[in-house]
Order: sequence, then structure tokens, then C-alpha cells
Amino acid sequence: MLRALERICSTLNYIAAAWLMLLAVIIFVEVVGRGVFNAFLGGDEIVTNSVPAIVFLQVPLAILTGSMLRTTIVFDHLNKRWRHVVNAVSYLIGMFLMIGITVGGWTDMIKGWEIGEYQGIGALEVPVYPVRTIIIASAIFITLIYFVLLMRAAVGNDTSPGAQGAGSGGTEAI
Amino acid sequence: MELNTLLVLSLVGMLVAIFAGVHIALALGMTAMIGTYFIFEDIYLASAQVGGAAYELVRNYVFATIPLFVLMGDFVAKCGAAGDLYKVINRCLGGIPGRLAVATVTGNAAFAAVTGTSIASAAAFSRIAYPEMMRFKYKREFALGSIAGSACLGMLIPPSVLLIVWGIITEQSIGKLFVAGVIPGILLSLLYIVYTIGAVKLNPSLAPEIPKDELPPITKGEIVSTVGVVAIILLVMGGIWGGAFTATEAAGIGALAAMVLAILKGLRWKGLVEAVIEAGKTSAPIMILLVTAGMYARFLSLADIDTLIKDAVGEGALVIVMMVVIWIVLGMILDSISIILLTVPLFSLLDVGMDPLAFAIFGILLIEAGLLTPPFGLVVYVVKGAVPDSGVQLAEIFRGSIPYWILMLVTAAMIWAFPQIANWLPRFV
Repeated sequence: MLRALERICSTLNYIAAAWLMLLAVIIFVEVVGRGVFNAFLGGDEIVTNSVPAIVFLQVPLAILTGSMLRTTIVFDHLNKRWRHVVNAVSYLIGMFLMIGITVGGWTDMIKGWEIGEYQGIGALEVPVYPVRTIIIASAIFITLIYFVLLMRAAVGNDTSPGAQGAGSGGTEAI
Repeated sequence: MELNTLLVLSLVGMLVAIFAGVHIALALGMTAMIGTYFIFEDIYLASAQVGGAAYELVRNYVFATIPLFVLMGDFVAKCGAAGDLYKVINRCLGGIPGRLAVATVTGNAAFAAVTGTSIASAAAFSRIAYPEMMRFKYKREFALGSIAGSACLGMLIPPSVLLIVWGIITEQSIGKLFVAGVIPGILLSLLYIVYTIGAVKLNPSLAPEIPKDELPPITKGEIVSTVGVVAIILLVMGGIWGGAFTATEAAGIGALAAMVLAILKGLRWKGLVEAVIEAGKTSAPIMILLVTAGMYARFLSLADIDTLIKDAVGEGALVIVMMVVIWIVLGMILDSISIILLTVPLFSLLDVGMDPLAFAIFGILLIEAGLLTPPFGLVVYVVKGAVPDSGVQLAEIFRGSIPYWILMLVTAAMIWAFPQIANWLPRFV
């Protein structure tokens, strides 16, 4: 199960990576268009609306690879059983938060589809309901990831990177 | 529940969860959701708060700077440009005492101008500079200290992820904040260099003199890297300074320029893809932290934190002392971005009697000092993980780093006394 989730997360991360590179190209075209041809293409609307989508495509892998930021100052001194307890609490909180995001954002997403919600005036109008959909879909998927991790922690078999504190894998940002 | 009680309880609950080891982003988001529930006593409204925030909070042009600048740094790091830069600087320094350590500081300062984090620099220079310093019998503690200490320049010298986060939270111009970091960054680099040379002069056994004929000639690849890095620095900072680009545009163009440099340096499809994936793994945890910290900030304003804070705390010098203590203590246990997200929304409500740009640099220096201090000096752990020598002890790196974080505190004190160090240059932007 964990392996299947990992494969899906990696695929989402590849999509986010390609999307990010595309943003760099859009920005370049925008700057050149403005500087050389004095043309405004409205690419900043695409960039603006892409950010939440990219984040929510990347987060599942960050969770699964133990990259989420935490302090291990107390955690490192806990025995294995208590580490599972702290991890289980983390996963449970994660589940609730993602369910909250799904429930709270659902109506806006449906409304967005119904009215064809878009952002931007003039140069380029960007539909935003796909972004809302990506966030909700990702939140549901992350709920599933946390559920699987929670089940594994409950039976004392949480082998995901970072689950055993500093040095057990995963990366730390900054 | 009375608002002040709710605020205090939620803050205590959140800190307990964070210190127990709960993921910081989740602790912030959950506090926001539960807190909002207690204010409105409506579970749907609480969900709508976080659900709406997930979409709105990072849907901002400025937020694209973080993944793009991280990507720029990853391309430059991945193609080996940091090592080339180090060799060229080393060659140029001639017979200066402690040359390899001075080259580490200078190389880090230059590398910092193309990367947004300290971690990339710490990992790169651990692999490049450490073996060189060991080859010439530098004292291990001294060598490790110079690597860990100077890696912190990455957070001060623009582009810096910390400056971006600070700018977003306090609604300041990121371009101006970047420019505000330039002089303090150069000043701190110079202090590091003066310390390194001075320490070697006083105790030559720290860094034995290296015969001049030991220096290899500069290769074509090294020249390409150096010219490329300088060109990226000029493009990004020059563009922002000259008003040609916004910070986001500079990040996008910088990322593409770094990709071109990486291709020129021989990085192919597989390496390029790896760099983009790595950048995603670094920036995603920061971005989700920004999302949930935003949820938390919304809850704080719903609960009318402004009044509570202003009533509870006075103003002036005592406030600054309180902040300094909190930042240094938190710096020992939490990562820099989490500290900024937890404290700056509250601290920025207080009257510290300091220019906002100078205050940002002052705060970042204090928070960054914690990256080098026990028990959770993140940069120290990265150096330990990256140096190709399993015999290195954490304690050695912590000891070697002491002069460097002291100099960071000295620089912070100088900015407190003379805010012009930070806010003079941005006047010309």
C-alpha cells in the first residue's frame, strides 16, 4: 500500500516540477514581451494561480518522505512506543486538518465549476476551479496517506522516513 | 470561552504539541481550526476558515519566489559550480593566512548570492572545502567551524528564503528587503574573514601555511562556473535593483539562467530533473508551513490578539530584550522559518522603535545564530551528515562554530545601534 502511495506521490511531484519549470518560462516570456515588445501578456495571473496547485501536488511526497518540519528535541529521547504515539497524534491531526480543508473548500469548488470561476481582467483570464479541485483532491489523498500511516503507527510498524526522529531518514528544509 | 483564555490555551497547546514532535505545519493548522471553532461554535465555519485559507493564502504572485529561488540554487549546486568557485577564489587569495578557511567564507558569500538557503551551502562546502583543509593539516574544529559558520551567510545575503518569508508576513517589499541584506551580509563576511586571519596569526597551528606551488592552475570549467555565477548574481540583483524585474520575475529568470549554466557545465536531462525534484522536496514543506501559519494568523486576528499583546507588553528597549531572548532560545530548538512564522506576526504588532527593514535583518541574524548552537543547530547536523569523514563529532562542529555565531550576534547589535547598515542601501532602489 505504502509503495503504491509513494508511486502516486512521485508522479504528482513530477507534474509539479514540470509546472514549476513552465512558470519560469512564462515569467521569462512575460519579461521579454514587456521589455522588447512593450506587450503585457498577463502571465502573472497564471503564476499566481499556479502556486497553490503546485504546493498541494508536492505536499503528499513531502509527508511520505518525512520532509515535514518538526523539532526532535524531545522526540529523540522518547522510546519507540512513545515515538509511535507522537507520530500517531501527528497523523491524526493531519487527517482532521485535511478533512477540514476538504469540507470547508468543497462548496467553493462546486460553485467554481458551476459558474466557470476565473481570475484576471483584460489580458488573460485564468480559470481557477481546476486549482480549487487540485487542492481538494490533494487534501482527500493526503487524508488517505495519513490514515495509512496512522494504521501502521497503531500496529507499531511505522517505517516511513523520519518516523524515528533525527537520522532516520527524510530531509529537513532550511 | 473568553477570548484571552482561548488565546492563551491554544498557544500553550500548540507549543506543547510542537515540542513533543508533532509536525509544525499541522500543529499550526489544527490550532487555527479548533480556535476558530471555539470563537464561532460552528464546525462548518471552522472548516471553511482552513478550507478557504488553503486556496487563498499562497495564491499570491510573490509566493512563487520561494520554489523558484530554491530551484535556482539547486541547479547551481548540482552542476558543481560551488566547487569551481571555491577553487578560483582559493587561487586568487595567494598567501593569505588560513587561506582555505578564508576561501570557504568568501566562496560561501558568493554562493549565498545564488542560493536561498543555508543547507545547500553547508552540504556543498562540507564536501568541497573539508577534504582540502584536512589535506593541508588544518585543525579539524577550525575547519568545520568555518564551513558551518559561513553557510549561515546563505540566509542573509539575498536571495534568501528567510527574507522572502519575513517580507510576506510583514507585507514589506521583498526587493527592498533583499537590498537591505547586502551590506550586513558583506559586513558579516568581512568579520568572519578578519576572525579567520586573526585566529591563524595568533595560533598558526590552526592552519599551516601552504606552499604556493601546491595550487593547481585554473581550468576552463572553473572559469565558466565563476563567470556564470557572477552573471546570475548581476542578473538577479541588478534586475531587482534597477527596477527591471520584480522579485518573482528575478526568481523565474534566475532559475532559467541557472539551468543554462548547469547545462553548460555538463548537467544532462537526468541531473536537471533531479535538481527540479529536489527543489520541490525543499520548498513544499516551507510552502505548506506558510499555508497553515496563515490559517493560524487569521485565527489570531479573529481572536483579537492585537489588544492582548499590546496590553500585556509595553514598548521600547525591554521589548527588544524579550524578543532577543525568545528568538535565541527558539533558535536552539526550531528551524528558522517556523520561528519567523510563530513569532513575527506577534512581534510586528509591538512598537520596537526600529526601522522595519533594519528590524528584519536584526531578527534574521538572531534567529540564524540558533542554527549553530546546540541542541538543534540544523546547519551543524547538515555538516556532520555531509563531510566525507565519519570520525567527525557533532561537539567539534558546535565548538568550531562558536566564534561565528558570536559574530552574528555582534552584527545584530551593530544593526541595532546603527540601523543605517541595513536601511541605507534600500533608499536607492
